[in-house]
Amino acid sequence: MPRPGDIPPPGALRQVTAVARMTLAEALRLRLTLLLGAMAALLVASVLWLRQIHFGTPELRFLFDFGFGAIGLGGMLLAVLGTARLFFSETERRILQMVLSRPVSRESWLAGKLAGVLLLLALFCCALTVLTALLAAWRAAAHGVEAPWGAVLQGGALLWLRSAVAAALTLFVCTFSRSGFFAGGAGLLAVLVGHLRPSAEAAPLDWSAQGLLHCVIRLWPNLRVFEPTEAAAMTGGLVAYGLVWVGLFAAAAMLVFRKREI
Amino acid sequence: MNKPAPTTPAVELADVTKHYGNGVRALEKVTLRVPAGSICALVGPNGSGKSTVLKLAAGLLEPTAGAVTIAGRPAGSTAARAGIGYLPEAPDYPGWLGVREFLEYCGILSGLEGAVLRDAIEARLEETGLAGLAERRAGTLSKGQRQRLGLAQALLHDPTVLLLDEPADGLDPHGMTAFAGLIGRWREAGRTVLLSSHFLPQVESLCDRAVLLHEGRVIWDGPPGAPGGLAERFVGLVPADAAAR
Repeated sequence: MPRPGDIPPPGALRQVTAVARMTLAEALRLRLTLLLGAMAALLVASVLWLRQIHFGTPELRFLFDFGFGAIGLGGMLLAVLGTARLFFSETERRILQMVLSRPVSRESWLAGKLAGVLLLLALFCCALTVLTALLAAWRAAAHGVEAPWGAVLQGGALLWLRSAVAAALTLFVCTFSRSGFFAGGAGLLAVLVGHLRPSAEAAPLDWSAQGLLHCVIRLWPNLRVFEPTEAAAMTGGLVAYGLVWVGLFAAAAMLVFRKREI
Repeated sequence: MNKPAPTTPAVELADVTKHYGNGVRALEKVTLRVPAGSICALVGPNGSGKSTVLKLAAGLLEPTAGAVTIAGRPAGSTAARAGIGYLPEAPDYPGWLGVREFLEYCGILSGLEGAVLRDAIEARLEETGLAGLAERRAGTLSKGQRQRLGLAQALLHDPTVLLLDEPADGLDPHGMTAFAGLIGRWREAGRTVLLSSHFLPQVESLCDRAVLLHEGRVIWDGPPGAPGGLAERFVGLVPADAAAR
């Protein structure tokens, strides 16, 4: 009969993979995922009818803006609400207690949760980007111009990166929240602040308020830099910026979660 | 790895105090030694601190003061957690998740893989009477069946110490008999069991020892069947209407 400690603990990577697989499996069955996926796909597809009221914008530009808008909105909602739902699904059912009573570190569990959500967001953004790309290719062919594959794929990748930052931010909020409802609401507000950061920087304030504001907003990611309509290209700097914020929020989440009473 | 001396208790709380972040004072200077191979019950009214003791032993909580050890190792350490099986109170499962799938998940997290994992799952399904329900969705199980699935995951990696929070909750008479059989087999196998229960007849018939908790303090500790002991003390703690039930 093995005594405590005789069973070799599994490697952290194996644990993270197991939690990520379980998280992704649950995420794909969430009504929220299906609802947001269907809504975003309908919005992207509806561009075929809406392109006739494009307010003078060139058709392909309008298609990009509208398609990316739908992917961005759906991805952001899924990142925030999905992360909150998936985090509290295990805590409220007490599955988390069964998991953490095993030789699984809290950091591994959180890393697995985040990895599962990022995979879900990758699938979401990928499927809808392909749909947008196919529509763009069809319309480009109708106009006799080259299909803009590169621009569409870069736009999809940028939106995934933005939703990844939002998911990591929400995971951090979850670690000190007591309910998924609070975490979802606070996560949406936090993401909104990230979107308003450039506006805050440009606000006409006196020098002291401006100085204080500049100090505070440095603690927040600027989510608007990931918008495909404004960012010219997916640069290495932009990728690093997104990944650094994902890492910072994940590290902060692990720090808070280490002491959480479960 | 250093082997603990034979006298090292399987579970030990030394002068443990636990105050939660929300101000609740769950335990006050509790000292408890559960010898290896014994079956010990934590008894007490709601809010007496039974679940907190089990969570501390499982490493899910840290004591405010004092020390908790499992076979001489600090509770919560990787070595201590590798040798315990923990059943939380009233576990629940997602509707989409299969019984076998859930046990696979738990087994992988405990370090089991391949044929060892498959054999362990089959053995625990059989042991807990869930063999015929392996392909069912865990969320569709009855309360008693969910409890048995909780027991199966706690036993999966063959731990020497079992920490069970209200294990008989929701079990029908048949399930109770089966659970008593399980306890008997664990006793023969030399496992240590620390469980919480409200159900005194079960405690008296199954356990070697009972610890009565009230408002976070140990107020009685001894063999549960001793005359003038546990039953009288416990009934004195619970309101008359609850005792009548």
